[in-house]
Amino acid sequence: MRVTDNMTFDLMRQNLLRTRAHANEMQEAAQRGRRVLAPSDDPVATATAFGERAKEQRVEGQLRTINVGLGALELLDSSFEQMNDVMTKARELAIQAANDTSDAEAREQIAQEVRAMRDQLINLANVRQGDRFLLAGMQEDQPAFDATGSFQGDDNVRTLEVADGLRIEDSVSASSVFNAPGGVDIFAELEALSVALDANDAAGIQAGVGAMRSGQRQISDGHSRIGSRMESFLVAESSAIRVRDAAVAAQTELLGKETEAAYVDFARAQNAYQEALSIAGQLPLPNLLQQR
Amino acid sequence: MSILRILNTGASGLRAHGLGVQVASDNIANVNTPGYARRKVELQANQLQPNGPGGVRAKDANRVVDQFLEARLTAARAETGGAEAQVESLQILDFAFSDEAGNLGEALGAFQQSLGDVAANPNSQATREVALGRATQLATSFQQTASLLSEQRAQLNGRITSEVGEVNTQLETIAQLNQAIAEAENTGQEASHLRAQRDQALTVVSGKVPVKVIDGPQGSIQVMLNGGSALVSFEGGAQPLIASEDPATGDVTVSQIQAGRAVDVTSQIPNGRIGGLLSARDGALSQAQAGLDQLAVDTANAFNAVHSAGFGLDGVSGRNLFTATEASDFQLSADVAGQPEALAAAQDAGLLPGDNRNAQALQDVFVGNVANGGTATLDQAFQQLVTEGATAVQMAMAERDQAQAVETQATNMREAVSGVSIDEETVSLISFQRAFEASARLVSVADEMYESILAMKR
Repeated sequence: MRVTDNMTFDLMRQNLLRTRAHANEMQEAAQRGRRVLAPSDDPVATATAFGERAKEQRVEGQLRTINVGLGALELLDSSFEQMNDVMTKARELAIQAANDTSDAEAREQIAQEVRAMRDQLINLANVRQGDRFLLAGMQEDQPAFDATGSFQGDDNVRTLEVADGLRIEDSVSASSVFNAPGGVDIFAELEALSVALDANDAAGIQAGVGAMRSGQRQISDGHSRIGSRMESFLVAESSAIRVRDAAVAAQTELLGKETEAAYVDFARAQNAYQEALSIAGQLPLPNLLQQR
Repeated sequence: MSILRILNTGASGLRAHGLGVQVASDNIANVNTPGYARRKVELQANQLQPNGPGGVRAKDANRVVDQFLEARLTAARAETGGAEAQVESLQILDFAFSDEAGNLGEALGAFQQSLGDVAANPNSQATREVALGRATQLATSFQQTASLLSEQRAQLNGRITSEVGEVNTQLETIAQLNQAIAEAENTGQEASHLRAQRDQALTVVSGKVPVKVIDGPQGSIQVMLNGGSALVSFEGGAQPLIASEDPATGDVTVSQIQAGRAVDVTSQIPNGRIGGLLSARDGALSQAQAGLDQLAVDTANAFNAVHSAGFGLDGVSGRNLFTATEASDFQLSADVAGQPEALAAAQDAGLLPGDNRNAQALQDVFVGNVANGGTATLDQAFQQLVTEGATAVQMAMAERDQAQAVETQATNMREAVSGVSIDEETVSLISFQRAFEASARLVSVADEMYESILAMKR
């Protein structure tokens, strides 16, 4: 085959352009830590990575929701713990007042304490997260209980989506705690106890002891349900974190490039370009015209 | 013995070898001229006659051309031109659907997160405002992506028009050179430089439209589209292409006046730069635009179906969240724009403001098969769009690389036959120079012989 001067120069030009382009590509890959620099480098990997990114975003959203739910349940947990203490104290006072050694004056003082505890309990039951009254059901923009202990909310309990298709309640129904079926109306019983104490009504006080025990159990049951929901949220959180981390890792796996490999490839591409330059530097080859 | 004959023989050598030196120097001078085919002097011994001329004559100084290789290179140029134009045209899809922040996929994900925030705080004005902000960003993302693609379409149409103009200029040049070559060769003049210019013009044309070249009368060539429409003929001259814009779509088609009426020849241009631009526009770009429009409409419909069934904080139902007939007009519905309380997070007006079930149903739109005729989620439809676009770019790049390799091979094969080798031309130069010197010596010898005869009389 005849080899002309143009063929030699064309080959040199093509080699220089190709090795330079490859070196540039490898440099970008090393700098960005990416194997896939544009979707067309690997369409399937890019689309799959998009799917993983969408999953990551969805789970990030669920984690934010979980945090809101956990925040609400932590507030309720704290509130119920305090309500439990209040009810324990109320029961102890009722037992103390029921004792034959308590006279009318002592019972009057206890009555005042019981009324204060009732107010404290109403205050604790009106626990809120931001503008939301957590025990008011869907009527969350107003206190669950008014000053007399009358319930102003509803029995609906909101759910939050913590994973695809999985929803968990982030509160409890107030009536199931403060006026549980088969149980007692806690605020009414506290009021009745204080009335009995004022009236030095031994039978009424004795009945109050039983009511306080029931009320304490109801609060404790509610507290347990909140604890159980917190547990569910925490499990969902750790699961969501695992899913998110897996989605992030998958994206890196699909599109990324290990630093060592990226720099080795870059060095190799640079060497190839330098070789091409070195060969190009030896051109033009001597020809017969120059020898004459 | 005839001294006159010796003199004539020397003179014929001077003419023939002088031409050889001239052709070799022409070849060397044109070593880098695109489209130039080296010329080769063919010598022939003159027939000896009793008192005839004898000696040598340069039969011809023909261009060394292999018509088969020329045709192959012409076809390869069209393939390369088409493939390169496709890559240049479709790389916009790599950008439009890249994973950089701010793309459509990110906007969908951010909107989904904001709906989750509303579901967690349905009575919060702040989260509702953020959700409407994310919905607006989604709309902007649809509009921007649509705009990128439609601007690219407009640019392609503009480039097709300008490429057609360039083809017509070159066709006119070829027609003029056909006439000039005929005139030159009819009067016995050498026309190889005109043929080289015509080849250059043909090189430009063949990179833009696929052509067949047929030798015509009097050294002319006839240039035709592969489909048979004549572009240049010896008799008819240049028959230009016409780029016509459809006023409704803005798309450009290519036609030609044949027998007094415009005939659409777009289908006769499958490759070459113009063919590549047409293929990119009507193929992958159209598909991406249609896919994006479908995704926009599916997104709007799916969210509207859920949103209109829910209730805003104001207790009003039946409001759409988005409006869209295509991606470019995807926007937040006027029913909810600037009205965070209108975002329908509740399923029961009686359970306001805490009811978050419709916000959750809006979130569920993302995991339901609501796109592509109920066969894919919104994310999957977007991924399909990305895959189709990226695959089109990848295939175009592979075709370009292959076409370039074929063109390089065809160029090398053509160069091996028609290209100029300085070494080879130098050898010719030396050879013709030596022969020229010898012929000159022959004339001197004949002259000396005449002198000797004349001296005999003195």
